[in-house]
Amino acid sequence: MLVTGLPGAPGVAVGPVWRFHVAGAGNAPARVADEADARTVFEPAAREAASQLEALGAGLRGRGAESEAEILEAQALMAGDPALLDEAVRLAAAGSPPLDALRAAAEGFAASLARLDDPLLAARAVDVLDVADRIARVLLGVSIEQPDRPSIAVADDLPPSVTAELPAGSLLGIALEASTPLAHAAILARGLGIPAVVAARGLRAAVDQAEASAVLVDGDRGEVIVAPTDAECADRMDRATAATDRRARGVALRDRPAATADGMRVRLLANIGSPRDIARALAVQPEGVGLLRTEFLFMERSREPTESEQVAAYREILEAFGSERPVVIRLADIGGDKQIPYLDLPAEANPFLGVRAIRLAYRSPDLLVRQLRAISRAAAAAGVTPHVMAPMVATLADVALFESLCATAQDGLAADGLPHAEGFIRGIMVEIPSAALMAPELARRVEFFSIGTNDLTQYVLAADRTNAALAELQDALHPAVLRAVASVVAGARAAGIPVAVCGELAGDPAGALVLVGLGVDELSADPNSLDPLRATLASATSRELEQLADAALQAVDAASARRLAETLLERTVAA
Amino acid sequence: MFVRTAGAQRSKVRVRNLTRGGAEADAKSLLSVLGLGVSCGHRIAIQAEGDDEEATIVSLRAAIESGLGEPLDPARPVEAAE
Repeated sequence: MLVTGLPGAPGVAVGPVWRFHVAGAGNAPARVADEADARTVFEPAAREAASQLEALGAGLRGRGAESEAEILEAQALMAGDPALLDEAVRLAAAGSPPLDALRAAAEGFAASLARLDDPLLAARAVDVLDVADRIARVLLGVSIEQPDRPSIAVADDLPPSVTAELPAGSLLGIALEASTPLAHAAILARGLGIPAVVAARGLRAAVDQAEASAVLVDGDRGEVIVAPTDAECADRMDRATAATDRRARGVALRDRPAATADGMRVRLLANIGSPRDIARALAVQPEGVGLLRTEFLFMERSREPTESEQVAAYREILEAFGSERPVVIRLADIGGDKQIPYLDLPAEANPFLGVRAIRLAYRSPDLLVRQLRAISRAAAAAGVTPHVMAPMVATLADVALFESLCATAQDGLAADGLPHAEGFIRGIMVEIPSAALMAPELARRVEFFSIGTNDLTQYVLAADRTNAALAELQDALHPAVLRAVASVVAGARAAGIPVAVCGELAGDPAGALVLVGLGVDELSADPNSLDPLRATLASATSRELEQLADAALQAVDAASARRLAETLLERTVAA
Repeated sequence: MFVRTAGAQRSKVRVRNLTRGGAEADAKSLLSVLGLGVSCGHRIAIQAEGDDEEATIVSLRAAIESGLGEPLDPARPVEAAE
């Protein structure tokens, strides 16, 4: 029986079910006399819990899981937190049994964290409760009952310190009914290399109902199979093995340009979102950056970044990749659902269809002009020609606006006597159906196209990509989307400009095969996807890819197109 | 790191989130500081009181300016791919 959740940590694992619970009952005082008495109860237990957490953190550090260790170290600080202790003492002195007082104090802090509109901080609420439970276990003198053999943890949520406490090798996988990919349970699982699925609603009921002794966790797809058959296990494990194998073969191909089996070149580029991604991207040897998202400079701050602040950020990235590896900088795609406090934009009923990205510049061009000025100055300093890309282009008027923004930026820099690039290499995102339909005309006005398949899919199929109920309409391999891609490629060919794809479909091996078959010249994806792509491309001929693309264009739906692509993918693995 | 630095001082240290507003918090309490909901780009005010108050402010300012020793949380959600 299949239970669908979200990917928490990659990999596939099968094993017996383990449910974590506390062993033994233990004893704690029923009441305390006063505040001083409460302190003598809580303080030693909190100190012990803090030192356990410090030790678990040190253990993770020893295994090279530095950032995961910080989670435990922060929990150690929480265990010794004066505010938590004071509140527990106050409640206990007022008459609550100490364990209830401790729990209530922790729940109060957890609730105020959960109320913050920051998903990262809200996900920390569970850490506080985990700390309180640990202090309670110390008070009671009990501990977690550990699995007696390597198992899959099935739980509502798995507290981070419990995950860290289990001996290495005893946890094969994690399947959680609640939690999120941002929660510390998932971060720890990724750090420890344990496959995990989160937010699998109905999981425990399904396990109970089937009286299942085993479950399969597919952390790549975000699915749990309760009481899997041998055939299901073999299928999922084969896929996981094939994925691992593709990655390994791709790593071996890093030092040569990506190409199909018969030598047709495909440029492989990285998508990055900030200077922090530079090292991760360079490590997989891309031929450049196909998409630098610049929202990192504009989001989560109270005022617009200054021009010189932007120059420094772009320069760092441009210099890291150098003139041999061009970096395509996408202008800020903000507004709509990405609200920016200092822009004071009106809330919109349909943010995905609203005044966002390049459209903002009709009324207030300054933000994008400043961004283009900063890019031009950074490129001059780095000694490269800047590639810039406008998001959300729908019409030829949008291209004219983009041209005028570039000209305003360059003229202004010349007037200010500041060193700047000679000119921009201009491209546009093709992610709106009107742009795909107008591709032949647009192609004569710009120097490259980059197709954003996520938004293009959402607009072609009119399916909000944040709405889980429409998940079936969000597969970019839908023939309607593929036909749009094919017409974009035809328009670009006629004008002699290259076409890249920078949406998620480009990083998906099955999707990449179809895209290259359709004539896409460049694939830009998360650095983590590039090695598998290299191996995927190298194992099929351009003729096979063209045949696949022709068949996929004629498929009746996304699922059939995907089956065609996966058949070729499996054959290339067997080869 | 901020709370650890504050905790190492003798002074009482209070901190407020100017961008978000709201009450001030004990800088030596991680839970109280997290409750301020400070995220990157927010402006905060720090007040120290005690015999090492000046040194306290200097070391907290240095801790913040050094980026608090953190690459931002690796789990910071990445924008959907495009």
